[in-house]
Amino acid sequence: MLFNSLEYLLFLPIIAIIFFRTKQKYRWLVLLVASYLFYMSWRVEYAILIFVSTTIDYWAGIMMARQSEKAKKKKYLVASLLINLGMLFSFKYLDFLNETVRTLLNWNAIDYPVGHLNILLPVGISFYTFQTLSYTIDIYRGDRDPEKHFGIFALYVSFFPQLVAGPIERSTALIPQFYAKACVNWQQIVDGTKLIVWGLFKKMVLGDNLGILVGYIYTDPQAYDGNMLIIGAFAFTIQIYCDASGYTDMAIGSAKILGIKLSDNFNRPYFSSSIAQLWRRWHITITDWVNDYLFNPLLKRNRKARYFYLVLVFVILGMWHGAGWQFVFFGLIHGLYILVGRLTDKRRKKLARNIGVAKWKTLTRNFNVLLTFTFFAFASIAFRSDGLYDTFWIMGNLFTGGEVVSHITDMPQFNASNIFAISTSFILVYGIELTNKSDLRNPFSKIKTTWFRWCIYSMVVFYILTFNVSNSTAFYYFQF
Amino acid sequence: MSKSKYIRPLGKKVIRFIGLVLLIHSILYFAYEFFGERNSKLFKNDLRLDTHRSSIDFLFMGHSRPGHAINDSLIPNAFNFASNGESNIYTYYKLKYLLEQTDKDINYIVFPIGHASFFDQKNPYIVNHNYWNKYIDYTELGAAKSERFKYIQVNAQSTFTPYAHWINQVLNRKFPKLSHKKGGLHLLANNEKKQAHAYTIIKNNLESRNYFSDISLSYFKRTIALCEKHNKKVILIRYPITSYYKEASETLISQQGLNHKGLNTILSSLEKVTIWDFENLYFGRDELFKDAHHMNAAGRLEFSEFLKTRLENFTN
Repeated sequence: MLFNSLEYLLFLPIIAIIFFRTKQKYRWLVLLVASYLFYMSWRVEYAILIFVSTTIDYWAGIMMARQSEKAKKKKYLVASLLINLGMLFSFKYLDFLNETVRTLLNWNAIDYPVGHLNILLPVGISFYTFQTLSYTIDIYRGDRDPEKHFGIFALYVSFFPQLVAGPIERSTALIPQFYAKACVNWQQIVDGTKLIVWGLFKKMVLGDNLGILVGYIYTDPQAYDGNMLIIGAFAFTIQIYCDASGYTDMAIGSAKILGIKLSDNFNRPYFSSSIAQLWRRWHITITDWVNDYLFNPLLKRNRKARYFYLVLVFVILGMWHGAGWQFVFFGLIHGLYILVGRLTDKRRKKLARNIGVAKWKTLTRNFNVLLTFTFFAFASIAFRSDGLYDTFWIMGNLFTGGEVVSHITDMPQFNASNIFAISTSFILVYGIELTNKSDLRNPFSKIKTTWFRWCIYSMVVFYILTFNVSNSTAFYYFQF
Repeated sequence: MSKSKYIRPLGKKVIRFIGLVLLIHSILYFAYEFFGERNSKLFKNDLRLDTHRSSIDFLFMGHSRPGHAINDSLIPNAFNFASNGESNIYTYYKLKYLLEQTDKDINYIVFPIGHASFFDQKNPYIVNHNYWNKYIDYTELGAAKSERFKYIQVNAQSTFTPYAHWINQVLNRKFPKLSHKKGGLHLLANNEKKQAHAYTIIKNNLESRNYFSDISLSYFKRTIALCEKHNKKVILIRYPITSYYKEASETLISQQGLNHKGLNTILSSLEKVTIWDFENLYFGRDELFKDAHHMNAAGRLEFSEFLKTRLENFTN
């Protein structure tokens, strides 16, 4: 059940009505049943997987709390880590490992008898695995007590608005909200609906229309010249943002209607003036997770190896996104970007002072924003490509020039209407993001003139109705 | 703040906004009704059929190949009811409507078979959806394709906002330089380019269609059964294509394992049906084609004359 489907359009209000009509003490049950139904709408078997993960972590949490010695607690933590990461590995990385072994052996002219495993990746497994891991690690560290109520804990793992593509919530932030009494709040319902519609606009109008162009270029990159490849790289960078942040808006909006506050996940990342800043604003909950549970513990062990850990963490972050060497490369590029950024920070500032551009703060900031966006777009080639070969091929052929218009008119599904939808919706998204720096949950809050705000609302609604792509795809982050 | 004080201003705002949306919706809806629907080829053809006399000797149905190959004014008492991108599924519903809900008395019904005739759109066919609403039972079709919700969604979307697709069409027409150019066979200089053009057409179709679909085949069988039920005679025609298209189609079929195993068995089991194969009729006569598998005006003229004679001989 996609957020941009009729099923969800009916599902959410029905659940909201049942939720608010039910007595407070049974509301968790309504949300739990809804969450499992939501997840099972992809495949019924998925419910077993998430239930296993939930049970293991609930048990590990309770058992850890009963132990007074750290060493004994560790046994349960390790069990939880092994089972959760084992499931993640089996479903997400086993096939990748299998293919890598095959390639290596074939290079050495050795036969590899194991065929393709064709393991189906359960939707959202990376998200809920990280979410449950944060819970057990928090208990191990003594940052929180275990959740005694199995139903509430199961709801924390499976809460439908953020189940399949984040935000990755901490138990300390989400679980107390399931206990709190929620009343029907019309302002919240209106705000939540606005956020859902804005998310739909970003995904279905800008993201999906760009996705058609991107699809053509990345399906057969060798058929295009450098200029088209550059357009493809920038187009995908905007598409992935609209797709991921659009999903987050819809998730936050859906939860808001139910009186639950989810974490912010995207904070205008393309207005960042460095890659490090961009990662602090891009998929914030996963970056925070990696910082809290991976990078900082590694740093505590050995501070001298901090640069190595930095790159390593980004490689892992890249691999978290997908099982493929191109994702490893994507992570590696970002690790190196940040490493080089840190190592040259002082020198760059000094250089700026020496040549006299440091005083033009707006100019240098805008230049840095543009440069950061360009670097991100370059790395994103690896993110979208079908493999490492395509990644290198595209990166190596970016500056070969070539035709643009004739290539675009050769694309049967990409026409003037798509270009119109992209250009006008881009202006709106850019304008909203540029002006709204503080209130991420109310994208239209900076438009003070009522009639202008209503024009924008109407435009958003009619653009969704008119320029949505009929064979709209699933959200890009679902595959992770 | 009391509940009523809190809700009332918000309720007013929401009602005003809904009012504004309805106003814009009505303007767009009437603009579509007035400028869009009445000018579309599909609706015009429907109108032509309504005014056609009730007895029709030859009704041509199917996708764009018969659509482009038949000039029904050259064949006595014939009507070309084919439309672009029409799969067997859509043909079935159109015919069902004609046979069961109109007074049209049809003698022979002519369907296309051959290369890419048993396709099915991967997604609900949104183009001119408002037109198809009249014919298709989307609940039944959605159930047959196990995509009930998707079809209900598309149906609702096109019923309430038929202008959506029209606006896209208008934009594409106004800015043809930025829209997909289908090109023409006559513009292509050499055989190599013509061959490449044929491959591109099929590859583009493969993006949006299942080339051989079991559902399409089952609807084809239902169509034949429907004709039998209403005592209508059926002719199946393999329409003329270029040699490039045939070669490209066969290569891609074998490459991608798209061959439909059951098709030949089904065709050979149809006893009361006449099958004519004209696929090779104009091999080497590229001047008669608009592209690799659609005839142009000259081709339409020549083929319609040819078919007229053939039909006269057949019926006598």
